[in-house]
Amino acid sequence: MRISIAMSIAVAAAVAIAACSSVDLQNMNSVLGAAQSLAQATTEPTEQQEAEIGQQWAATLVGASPLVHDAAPERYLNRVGRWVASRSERPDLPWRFGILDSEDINAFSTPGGYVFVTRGLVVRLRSESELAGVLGHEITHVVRRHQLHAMRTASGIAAGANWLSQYVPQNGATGIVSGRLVGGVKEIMQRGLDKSDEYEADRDGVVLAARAGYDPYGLPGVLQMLQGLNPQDSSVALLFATHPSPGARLDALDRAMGTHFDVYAGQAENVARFQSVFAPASGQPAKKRKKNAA
Amino acid sequence: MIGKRNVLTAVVLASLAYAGAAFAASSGVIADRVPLRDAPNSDAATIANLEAQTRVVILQRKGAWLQVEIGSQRGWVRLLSVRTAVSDTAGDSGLGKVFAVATGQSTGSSVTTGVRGLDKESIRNAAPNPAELSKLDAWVVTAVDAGTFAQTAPALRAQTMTYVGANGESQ
Repeated sequence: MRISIAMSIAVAAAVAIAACSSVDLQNMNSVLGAAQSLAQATTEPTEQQEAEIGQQWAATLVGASPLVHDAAPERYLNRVGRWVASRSERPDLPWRFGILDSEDINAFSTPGGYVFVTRGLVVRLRSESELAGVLGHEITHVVRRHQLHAMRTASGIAAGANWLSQYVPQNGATGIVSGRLVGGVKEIMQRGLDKSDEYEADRDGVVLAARAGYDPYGLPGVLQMLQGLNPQDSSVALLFATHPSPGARLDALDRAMGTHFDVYAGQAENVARFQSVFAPASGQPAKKRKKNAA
Repeated sequence: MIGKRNVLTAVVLASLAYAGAAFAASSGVIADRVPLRDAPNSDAATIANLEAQTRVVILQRKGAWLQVEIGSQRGWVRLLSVRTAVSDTAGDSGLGKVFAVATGQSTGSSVTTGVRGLDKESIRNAAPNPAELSKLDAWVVTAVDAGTFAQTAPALRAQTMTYVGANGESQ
């Protein structure tokens, strides 16, 4: 066996030497080109490319569900979100946060720093620390480029090193809606990200919340709330189809958090500030509720 | 009389929900066998061992601990060892949505136009809407503004903490 392998190596080497002798310049160039593509495979997209992809991704999302057009809750969301993002490894991205006007319970993020929560989710949260936990999870997807990972996986092995060229215009043109990109992001939004990336986003999300001065048990609190919902409920259908079950996520967080977070468990929950913006379970921004209460 | 008591119960439950935020739900289930301790710390004496699936009443939260009651016993368990008892009575809120619209009660913000899902179908049919997206620009908060927000009461104190791995290893 060993001899036969040695023999084939010797034969292959001989063939290779023979081939080399007839290599012309054109062949040499194509070999170099392939090597270059291989190098690109390990190269992350530039921030400009991320922003380009993110913009079209986010435009598609608000095409599916418009934003809540109410400055007070939107501003508040951006304050909390930007503060949590500023504790991450990518504080200087052009972070933008928005509330989607949908009853469904979900949250999304895109490359480049767009983060969305649905109105259905935000009115079920009970504190700023829970919001910070959700945002920490989404911010992690951006910081760790989980969406780009999903795009690369979705583009298949055949696309190889040039996977990005399928989605981003190579001629430097910007602002052009790419049909392939929009099709790709729709696919990923329906299928979800890699499950291991979801678990990582939970682990990093609680750390980001703790770094930002919040009680890190906000995200587990949200997962507890999700676990209490009927999984057959249509408002959680997409969330549950694209994420591991809340129970599995809580089990994983239990293992990961251990006792490391105990010292931060007394940090801010900011229930009152949160509920002055989002009326608990009323389904409407607080402005109206205050008027009713007066 | 009964009505009054119900109102009182509702008030107590509501204030519980406020006080302990997520974890002061009325009951929970033990996820995996855990020690029930007589104080909220790992060095406290073990009163009993609770088996998986034990139903507990949650009394209060203190940091990473929950005070629970099982029959006549009271003690503390780690917060993440308790799971929400999955509701078997909750209906599809999709139905609730239809009800709210039918009875004219608005459950949404001023721009809501009835039942609107964000499901696979709406994603498939979505046309990119850059004009809607650009509305986010009006609400953007800079890093400096976010820092000011964090310093405004109730202030948030930034901490340094490394990420953790799947088994709690520091990264």
